[in-house]
Amino acid sequence: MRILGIETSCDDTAAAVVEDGTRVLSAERLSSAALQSRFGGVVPEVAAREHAMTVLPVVETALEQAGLGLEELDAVAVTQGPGLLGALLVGVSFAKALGVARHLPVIGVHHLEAHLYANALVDGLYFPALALVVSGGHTTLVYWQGHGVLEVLGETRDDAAGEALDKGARLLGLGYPGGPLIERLAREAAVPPAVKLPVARLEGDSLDFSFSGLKTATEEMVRRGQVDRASIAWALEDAVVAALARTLDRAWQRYPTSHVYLAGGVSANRRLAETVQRWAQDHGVIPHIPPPQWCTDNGAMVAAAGYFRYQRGDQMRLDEGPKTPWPLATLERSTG
Amino acid sequence: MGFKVLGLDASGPMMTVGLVEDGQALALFSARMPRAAGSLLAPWIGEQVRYFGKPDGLVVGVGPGSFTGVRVAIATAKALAWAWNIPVKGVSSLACWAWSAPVGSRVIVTSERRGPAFYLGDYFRGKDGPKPLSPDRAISGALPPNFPLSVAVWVLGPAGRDPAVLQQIGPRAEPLEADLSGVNVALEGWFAVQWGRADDPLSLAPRYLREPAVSVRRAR
Repeated sequence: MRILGIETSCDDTAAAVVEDGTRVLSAERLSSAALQSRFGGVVPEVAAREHAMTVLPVVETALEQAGLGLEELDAVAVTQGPGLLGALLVGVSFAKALGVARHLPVIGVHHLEAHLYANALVDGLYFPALALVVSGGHTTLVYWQGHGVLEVLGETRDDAAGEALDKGARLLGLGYPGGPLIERLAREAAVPPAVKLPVARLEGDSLDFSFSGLKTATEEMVRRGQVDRASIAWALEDAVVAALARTLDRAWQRYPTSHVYLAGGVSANRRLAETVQRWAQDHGVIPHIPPPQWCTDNGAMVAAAGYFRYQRGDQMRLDEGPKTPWPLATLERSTG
Repeated sequence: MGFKVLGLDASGPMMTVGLVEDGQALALFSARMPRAAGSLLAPWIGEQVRYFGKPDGLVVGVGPGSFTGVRVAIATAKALAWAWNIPVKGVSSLACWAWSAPVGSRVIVTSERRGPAFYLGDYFRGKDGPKPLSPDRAISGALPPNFPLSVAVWVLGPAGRDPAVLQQIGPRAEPLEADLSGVNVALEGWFAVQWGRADDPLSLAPRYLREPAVSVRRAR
């Protein structure tokens, strides 16, 4: 079954064709990140304007790369939410119009669930598993029991992990998106530098995250001007990775699964990947980390998630629009 | 079998999809439900296609108006034109609305008013449709220097309901109550789609007339 996946939830316009939810036939992506970097972050109206102009060429290219005509598709999957409303509307409207024109089923996909399904593009999926979705907009820890059966164990209470890196990058005068730039600058630091930034410790046995204090501490360190920029970048990255790894470990003590999945743009961070791999080795767990092109927003993960939703009979009605906010926890109730 | 043209617009308070065959209206779905374009347009189009079949051409209102509404209509039109491989034409949403004015009259079309800001189109309604007397423009307070107008003029849209703005438009300005119709959208562009003056769907673009307000927000 060949599914066209369309993703327009933030600043990337992406499309891909995936066969049977696992085999990527093509993938195309255009990002407005360079444009957004002028503003130091994502401006929703700018993102939506870009999507309106790029969605057709991106989809057209994805089909060309796959060597397929529209008549050879079996369905269209699209990110229905959560995300920037104006940006989502472009993708959802485009997908529904394709569905009307070619009598194709349209499948609305949850953005975070799609990130999890990026792992289906690399290897089989093994349940039950723990999964950590970390990106510029999300930090969510999930107990993944099967297709459509998700339990949210913890989420960020304020900033997302990627957002903490973006804000740190802004404080250090770097561009957007901040994650890769922080990572690059951190490599220039003397290792380990003699500075630390605080990792928030939440009460009791909480599996939630908090990164807002990290921003304040970074701001203070930058303001004092006593530490070089590379060391601050290193300390910021270290604090984010430590918080993620510590909570993942805490969750695993309660849910000792054999498999752990990472997903989302921050999963492309090398230090996070290495830390999780070391931890997994120590605990006899098999880690799954998608390659960088499937960590960032992409159409293939949407097509993959759409395939597994379609297998369970999910289809979007023509009168449905984007869903945002759309907590992952409500998805679990509707399908679990 | 005549030449069928589908027209759609979501730039203002009226969501509308109309179908025209050889200049005659076949179907019209409209609702005064601003901000609902994302849920209304696709089912309406689906319904018309189920009944009348695939159209031979598409016309879409490209604004000016609600940024989001215009984008929904354009994204929909691009996908339809590409998937059906039929011609598409982007037309001024204000011109489409001006079709409602009596033939032989001058009409000022206004839309999307927010305080002193709105969009303004200045048209003469000829027997073959409206002709622009100046380009559509974004107003932020003061009207252009050629106002107030001394001639009789109809005023469509929110400015027609405000005596102060009517006065600025001209002493002979009269409000006109009429809605933007998908049938008129189709009529505004049917010549272009039937006679080879269509747009490339790839470059079909909204006519915003205003820069985005830049305020950085959390992505999700």
